Amino acid sequence: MRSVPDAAQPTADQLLRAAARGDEPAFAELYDLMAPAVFGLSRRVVRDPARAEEITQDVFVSVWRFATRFDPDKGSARTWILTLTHRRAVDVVRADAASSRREQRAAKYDTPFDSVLEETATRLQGEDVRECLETLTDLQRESVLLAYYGGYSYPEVSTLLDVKLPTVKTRMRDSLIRLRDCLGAWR
Amino acid sequence: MNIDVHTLAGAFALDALPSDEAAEFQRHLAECTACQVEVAELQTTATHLGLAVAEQPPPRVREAVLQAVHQTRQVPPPAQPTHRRRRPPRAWLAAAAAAVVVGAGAVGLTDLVRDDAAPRDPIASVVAAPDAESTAARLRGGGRLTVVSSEQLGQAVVLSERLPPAGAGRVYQLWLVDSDGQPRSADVLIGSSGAADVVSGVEPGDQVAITREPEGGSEQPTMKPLAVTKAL
Repeated sequence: MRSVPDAAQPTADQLLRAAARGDEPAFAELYDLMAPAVFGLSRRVVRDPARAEEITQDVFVSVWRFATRFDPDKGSARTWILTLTHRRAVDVVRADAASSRREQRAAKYDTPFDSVLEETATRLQGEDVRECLETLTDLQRESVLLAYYGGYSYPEVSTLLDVKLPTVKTRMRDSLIRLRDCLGAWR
Repeated sequence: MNIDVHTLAGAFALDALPSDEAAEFQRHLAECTACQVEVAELQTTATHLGLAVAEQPPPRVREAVLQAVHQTRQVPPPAQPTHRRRRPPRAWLAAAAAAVVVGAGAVGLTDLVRDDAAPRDPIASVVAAPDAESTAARLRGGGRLTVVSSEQLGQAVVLSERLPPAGAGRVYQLWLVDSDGQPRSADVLIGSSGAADVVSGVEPGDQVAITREPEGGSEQPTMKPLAVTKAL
């Protein structure tokens, strides 16, 4: 087993690996470490706090169940957990949109997109993320924020921003690459 | 490398692909190491956007999670390769040895999953799952079975193509077969070719099998499987 450099503050990776061995106290610590991000992201995407609580609960129970399958070679525990969270939240948003279409209501999302952008800009924590977003062009930034926090698909983003589909696809990739380089996210 | 598919990495990392394109990209991803690296990097980048909107959930969520966890069994870890010895298949499965396992690979998923509506249906969720894997097998007597499964979701999508008619009063039935060779009904009956069905409750070590059964299905298979393929 690897030695823990600072036993007082284990990382998400270490906690997840302990949880994989059935260590419930370690899992509780992992919850404390990651729950704000999981809940905050869910809430940002689905808006409804009650739904966000449900997603948070589902995500953590899945994390516990599948902790044994976490492979640190494929990415960090934080990324594993937040990727799962985002996908759940987006599924919830799209399932809601589908059922409202079935009910023949206009398939409208609760929030107008400019409020997604506005709120995001004012509430983002972390200087580094905010600064790096500033380095993007408006189109790059809006594409990423609408997809990630708004839970919109790229064809929806294309409609909202009134740009061609291939452009949106390309912008999403460009801007993530630029963010990656700016954040130094990948050593 | 298909340039057009490759540009989807960003949208994929943001979960912004409609279901058909997510399926297409997932297939491409399985064969493209460069894309796997890129997607992993871009997901790590997206993670920073998630961390930036952290917000404390109410304490009741913590209580509910810890209580649920206390009562939830974890899935077994993958065994180390040296210990991964194949169990000798039981008689029922052994008979299916004739069914050729085609192995993991590309299939006409998009044709079956095509759904231009943006929302994810259950099929698309499985296909787009981060851990989705596909296998395929031919049926004795014709037809093809493709299984795309996600361990995280505990679900598999079973695509049946070009099945010969089941015959009067007969249907095809899907089974999940555990690592001891015990079949249990997947509660999916297939009347015609070209179906895509979601099977839930898939456990690691399960295989998917298909038989022909009397209309309404059977509790236990009444014939040797026409095909078997790995699910998880």
